[in-house]
Amino acid sequence: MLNVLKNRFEQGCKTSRYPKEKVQLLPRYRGRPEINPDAPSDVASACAAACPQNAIDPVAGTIDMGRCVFCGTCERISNGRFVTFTQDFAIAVAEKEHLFTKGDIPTLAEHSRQHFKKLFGRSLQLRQVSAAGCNACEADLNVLATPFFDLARFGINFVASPRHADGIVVTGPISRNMKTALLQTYEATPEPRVVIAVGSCTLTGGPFRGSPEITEGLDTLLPVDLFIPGCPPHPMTNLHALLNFFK
Amino acid sequence: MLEIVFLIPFLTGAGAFFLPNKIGRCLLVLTGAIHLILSVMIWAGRLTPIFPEYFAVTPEGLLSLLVISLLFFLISIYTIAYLKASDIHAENIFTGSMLLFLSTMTMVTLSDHIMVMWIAIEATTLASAPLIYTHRTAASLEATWKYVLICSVGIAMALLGSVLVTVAMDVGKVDAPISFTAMTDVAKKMDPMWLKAGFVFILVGYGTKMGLAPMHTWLPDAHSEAPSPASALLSGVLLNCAYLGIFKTNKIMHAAGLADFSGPILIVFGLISIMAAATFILKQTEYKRMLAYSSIENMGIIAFGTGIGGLGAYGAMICLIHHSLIKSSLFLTSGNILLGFGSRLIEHTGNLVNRMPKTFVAFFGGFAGISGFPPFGIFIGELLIIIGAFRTGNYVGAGFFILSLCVIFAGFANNVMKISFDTSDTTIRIKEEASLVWPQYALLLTSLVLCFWMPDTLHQTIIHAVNFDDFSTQAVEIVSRGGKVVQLFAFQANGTFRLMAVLRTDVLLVAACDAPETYPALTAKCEPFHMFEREIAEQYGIRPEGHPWLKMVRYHANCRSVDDVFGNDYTEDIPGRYDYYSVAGDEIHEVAVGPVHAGVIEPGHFRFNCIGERVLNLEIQLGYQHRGAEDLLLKADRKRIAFIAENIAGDTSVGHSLCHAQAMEALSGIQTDDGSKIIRTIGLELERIANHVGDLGALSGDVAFLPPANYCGRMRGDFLNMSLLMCGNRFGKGLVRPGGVRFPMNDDNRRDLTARIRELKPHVKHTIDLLFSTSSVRSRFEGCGTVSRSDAEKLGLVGPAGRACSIPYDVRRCFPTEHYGQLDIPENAEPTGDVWARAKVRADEVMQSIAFIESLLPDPVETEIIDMADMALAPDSFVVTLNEAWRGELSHCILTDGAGGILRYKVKDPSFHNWNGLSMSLRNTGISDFPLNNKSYNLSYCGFDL
Repeated sequence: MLNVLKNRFEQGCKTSRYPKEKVQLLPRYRGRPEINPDAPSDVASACAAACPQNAIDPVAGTIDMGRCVFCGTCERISNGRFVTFTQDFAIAVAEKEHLFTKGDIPTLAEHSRQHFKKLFGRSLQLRQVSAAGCNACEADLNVLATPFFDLARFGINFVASPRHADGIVVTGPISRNMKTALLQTYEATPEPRVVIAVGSCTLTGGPFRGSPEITEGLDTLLPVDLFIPGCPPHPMTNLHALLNFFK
Repeated sequence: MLEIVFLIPFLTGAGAFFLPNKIGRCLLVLTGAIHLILSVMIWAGRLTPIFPEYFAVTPEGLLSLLVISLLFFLISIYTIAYLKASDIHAENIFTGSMLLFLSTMTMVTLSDHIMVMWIAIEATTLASAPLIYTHRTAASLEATWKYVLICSVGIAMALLGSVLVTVAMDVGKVDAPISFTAMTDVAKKMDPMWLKAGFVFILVGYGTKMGLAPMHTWLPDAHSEAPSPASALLSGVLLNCAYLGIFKTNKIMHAAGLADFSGPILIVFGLISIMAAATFILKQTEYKRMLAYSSIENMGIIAFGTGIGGLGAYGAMICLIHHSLIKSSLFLTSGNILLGFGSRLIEHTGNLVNRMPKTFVAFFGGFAGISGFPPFGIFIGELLIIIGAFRTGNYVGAGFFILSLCVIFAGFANNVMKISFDTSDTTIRIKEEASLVWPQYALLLTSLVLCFWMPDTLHQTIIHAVNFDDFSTQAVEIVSRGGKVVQLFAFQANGTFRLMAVLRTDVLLVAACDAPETYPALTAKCEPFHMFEREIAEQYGIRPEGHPWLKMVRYHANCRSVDDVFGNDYTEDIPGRYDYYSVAGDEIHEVAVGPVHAGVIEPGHFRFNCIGERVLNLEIQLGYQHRGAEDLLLKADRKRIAFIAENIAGDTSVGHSLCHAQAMEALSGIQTDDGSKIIRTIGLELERIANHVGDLGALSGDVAFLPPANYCGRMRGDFLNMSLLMCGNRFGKGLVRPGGVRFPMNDDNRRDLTARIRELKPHVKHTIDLLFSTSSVRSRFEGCGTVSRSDAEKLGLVGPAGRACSIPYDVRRCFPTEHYGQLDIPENAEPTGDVWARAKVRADEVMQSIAFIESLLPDPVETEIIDMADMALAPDSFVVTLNEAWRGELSHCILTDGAGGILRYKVKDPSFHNWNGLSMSLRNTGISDFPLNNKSYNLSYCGFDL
């Protein structure tokens, strides 16, 4: 017993005071990309050619955050002259077209569905469906339940059954073998229901795009309400998205 | 019209007897050219036999045919010049016999029928005898008689042997054609005693013709008395033809499982031949006889290698080709020397280097080649045979082999030096015309080229000769003796399907063979092949007959578009339609879980057969996560593949990207610097710590001891943040790339990391102590989900799961990469095989890994930062990489094609071994203990499903 108490004091209180206080992520973290519209076109083209995800449109000067895996290759190649990744983790969007960005992302809270806020603002129960995810997105959703983030204090929980849920959170590029199970889980969730797509794979197929075994974009199967980009999205991105979209 | 290849030289040969010399000479070259064209057409698969029951194109036959054809063409050109420079009686008989000789040898290479082969080999004797008597001297007459008599006695033995082999079929009540192909298929059913007797007679019979000692006595006379072009044919290709008969019979012996009988006999004959040749070469006074003894030596080498089998057999094949090329070149050159000096005695020659400089180049090149100097092929062949001999524990044989090679070299070198550099006053009788030397140059050049550049199909032809039965017998033997399967997979190369195995003992062993359409399952004899054979069946539609558990792995159509082994039609929605193991009885019930689980985890289906609360069997059926990663790695742009490899399993991103990077570096010859090795090591260890700490927390939560569950959850995040600190991604994605790392470790990083670890280390230590010292935790962990060591060995468990069953294997210690060679990796083996042991191993590893990282941080780390290196991959190459990821042995294999493109990319995640360990843990355990056991393994679904 003494031992348990001693450990308790050693560990202290680790829960973040977010959103009351700002959270500063580590310097190498790559969040919201910003595009320099004045960059020379050859630099832009070089970035587009080097991008492993073909996420860059050098002519329009946009980057598709749905495809982007935030590897930072473009930032290095252009030496920051074309793309820079900021420390800003608030990158979730409510409309798919908002994923194509020049650097400015519409404020999520303003684009959320008002009736969702009313319905789920105080209590939101989510069923997570991993559909061929690599376990990184899953892990960084799971981590929201740990003391630092402590998702439950906001009235948001991951539950075991779709029957108990207000919506589903989908991760992974939706393999052919997982499609039926995903759709059945969706059907099993009572309406009104929310669909949240987490991670580059779910948004566009991510690194696996082009494989005949996957689906390139959850929105081709289900109406998606919230898009959270990243490979995987940082837990703060997930937390920010949930709080701003529903609270 | 396959038969046309030996019919044409037969007809032209018969014609040449009656035609004037001039036309005969033209006919000789013309037939050689046509024969070469036809042989190449056979190689390209354009000609098919009219009588398939007698003739067939086999890989080893094709190889010999190509050698014969090329040699004959070059020799025929030389012969024209030779005939002009020397005077020969009855030239029409000489040319006619040469052509008939070609015809009969071609027939040997193409015959598949045991009797037709015998007839063809006997025919070569008859066709070549007049060649030896060309010079019409007493000595040549004696040589001819010796040749005909001894070889005829030998060939009679071979006839008896062939009959005995057919008796073996009758006694075994096998009804099959007596072709080698058909007999190899039914060899298992043949009577072993008669087969053994047949083999001995055939070996002695064809061995006589091949020149194996002590039946070799005809060979030095015949080869030295025949005119040089004929000697070149006799030595270069006739011996191969005789060997072919032995090789094919030996193949039947292997298929019948009698390799233990045939191997030692071949080894003994091989060694006797080599030693006999060594004795006679040492004091040889005639250079043509010296060359003849060298042929006996090489035939001995080939027999020895064939007897060793495996690598040795491959070496023997290489020696066979290169001996033909080099030895025939040497005999042609000896023809020049004979024409020039007019004597066969070494003492009558000398100063070749100045007197006949062009001939000297060919002579000396041939000497270097035949003595096994690198870079000639004989060197590679002999080296492989020696390695093979050591590997099979044949140390005494290898010792005699090496010793004899040294003696032969000494004798050979002594004579070559005399011929080349001694003083001589003889006048040279001929002019060195171009056509008297360039055929030799061409032969030597071909040998050289084949060492550096082996045409893909030719290469396949050679490896092909190592057959499936050898492959499977050896694989089963190695694994039964405690070896482990690292990888076993199929691939397609040039239209044929092949199998590749990577096994490990205390070294890594690699072998490939042609994949049969169906084959007796290795799993039936040896359990560790279980998952691999299922995977091959699913990916390539190759059925392992008698596999005890032949079920789907990932639910997808095979890549060959042949019928699915499991009878599935993948246009329909298949997952879940699975033939589960079932248990019947009144009180038996089944529990089905998944694919969507209660928690935030990946999908998979678990089927429990229970009696009450007790689990009788758990069957785990995965495949839901299949993304086609291996195929995508082949098809995607080069710039993408590191990203795909890294995302095979997100919780093992560093492990997978490291295996990928090392493979690409090996294929492109890029070296990484020491700094990047340290950074990669730290990255991999951080990944290990984060996952182990997280799982220890989850284990604690599952036994309802919440304090460590919460602390570990938080601390896991802190370790993930250290990866974020290093590379901007919590899972280490983007840190490792082929060529090095993408992020430096500057002094600020090091200080920051050191401070974080210093703060966290006591927290981790105390939490682990709390977990393991709590009696309620102990009582739940101990004895729960026990797997015995012998089961773990059969299932091939790796990583912490294996170490918890007292299997200490750890890639970091056994095959260290990166900076691991300089770290002292402990064994960490626990004996109990239960949840306690798995938790304990992981807890120990956490503390060790923290210590490793601490030891790497004090010194500055300097490294060149790389991004996307543009890499050219070595063509026709194979690489396998191994690393100890946090779940255990992780391996990537890459095979490249002739243009340096990726032909096959094979990934094996440790979970591929370990999922069956979880099933085994649940046997006779309460079903409520499943979550606890599951978390003690925490296996990867996507790593398994790819």
